[in-house]
Amino acid sequence: MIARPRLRRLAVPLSLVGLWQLTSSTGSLPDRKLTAPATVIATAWRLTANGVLPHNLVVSLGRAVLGLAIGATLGVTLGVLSGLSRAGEDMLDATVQMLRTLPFLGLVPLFILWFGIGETPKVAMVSLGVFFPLYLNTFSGIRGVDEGLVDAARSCGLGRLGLVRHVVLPGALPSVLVGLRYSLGLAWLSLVVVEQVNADSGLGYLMNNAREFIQTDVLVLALAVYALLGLATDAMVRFVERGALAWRRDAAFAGT
Amino acid sequence: MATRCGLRGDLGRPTQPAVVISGLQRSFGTRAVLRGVDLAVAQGECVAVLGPSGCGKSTLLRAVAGLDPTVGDEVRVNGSVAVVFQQPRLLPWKRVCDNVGLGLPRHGRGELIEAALAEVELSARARDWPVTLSGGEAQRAALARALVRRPAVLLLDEPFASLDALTRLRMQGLVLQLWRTHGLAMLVVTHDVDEAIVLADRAVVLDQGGIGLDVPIELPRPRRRASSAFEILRRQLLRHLGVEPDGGGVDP
Repeated sequence: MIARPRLRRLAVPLSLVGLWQLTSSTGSLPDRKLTAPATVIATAWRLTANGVLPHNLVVSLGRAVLGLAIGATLGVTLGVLSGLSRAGEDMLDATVQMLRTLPFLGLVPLFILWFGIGETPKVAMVSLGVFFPLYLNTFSGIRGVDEGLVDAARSCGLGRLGLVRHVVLPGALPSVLVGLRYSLGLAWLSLVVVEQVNADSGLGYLMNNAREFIQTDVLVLALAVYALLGLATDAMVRFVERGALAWRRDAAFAGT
Repeated sequence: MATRCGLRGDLGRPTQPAVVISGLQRSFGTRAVLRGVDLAVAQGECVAVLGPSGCGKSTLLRAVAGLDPTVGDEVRVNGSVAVVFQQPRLLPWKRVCDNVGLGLPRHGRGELIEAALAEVELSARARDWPVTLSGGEAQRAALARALVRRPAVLLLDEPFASLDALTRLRMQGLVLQLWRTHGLAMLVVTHDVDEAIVLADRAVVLDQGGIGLDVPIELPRPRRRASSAFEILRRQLLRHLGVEPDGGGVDP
């Protein structure tokens, strides 16, 4: 038995898919513009069976994970540095804030000039997209830690290192995780863009190819895969939050 | 009830005071908040600092706690200091027991935490998250966090101001009991005249950036709010705070 609110939430998307299938079947929505859901599923099956979809998916995932690892490490590290020290802020923050205003996707041509057309520009692009939200949220998370808690911990004899470990970093964690959520969205976005500009594998390449051969089914399929990946990563962050932020009001009361 | 050792000391020789504040000055921008405060708290003595809001009570306490930098001999404290603030200020991401044990050396920490929580009757909530505590429970946890360090001096900054009236009475009783068993020197900042009279051996009124009034409270303990001696003291302190006890008072 599905709970009523969940049923209500599912009602609209499910009817939309139903309508989509119906209009496709009656021919009022031409296959060339938008392939019917049934066809997309068939295509998914075919491309999975012949290995094309899994291969390109793995390639894209690899780029996303590597880019995320590099960008997140840099973003969090620099965010912590400038969050914790005035000197760090003076040296880093103004620069990052300036660069942040640059629409980073505009850097794609420059990155291709610098790094060629291999894996490097793609991973670099993902790293760059991931870097900013994590840097900004780590910085503001650290600066937003309640002064009262810091005072209380100091009155318990905690030194600078102890404060960072027990008060500042745990206090900044919720904000860092918000940053991570934004970052994951931007990671996929950067990947879509770079893979369509210049790639010989990956989901973006699959889409670009499909456009050239007017394979609408593959296009729609790739979009659906992107959507599922987005959903999956969001669920992952939520899972991490449940563990790491179990102390928050909603979680603490639900858990006991 | 034995009288507590005052500044003269009951043992026949002068004991070293727990806290000595001399000529403490503080200003925010151009506004001088404290203009040379002199105050001493004897070992085991409880002193209440009264004053209207904004008079520098909390500033005074922060200086004694070492939370704000002081110069030279402005503040001398004999032994360690622990603080209980108006808000419990528990770290929300640490369970109650870990909040109490914050910054303690690992060795023997578990037993210390257990004992401190038992003293404030909070043993059952040791593994809970702070958000699940009631206001009174959270303040008791904060009290345990202060006491677990075996401080020589306990500083309390409006510790019961955010609690409901009944919880406040219970907390005052608990603090008095702990004060007695631990032989602490206490400095209680409050704007509540009754609270000062219930708790303290001595009440001082902070006025114009200095100590305006310093009266010993020599009522026998436990103190009855209904006694006439209590009432006389209350009137005296209230008048000094600019409030006429029978209405028609001046707003402080």
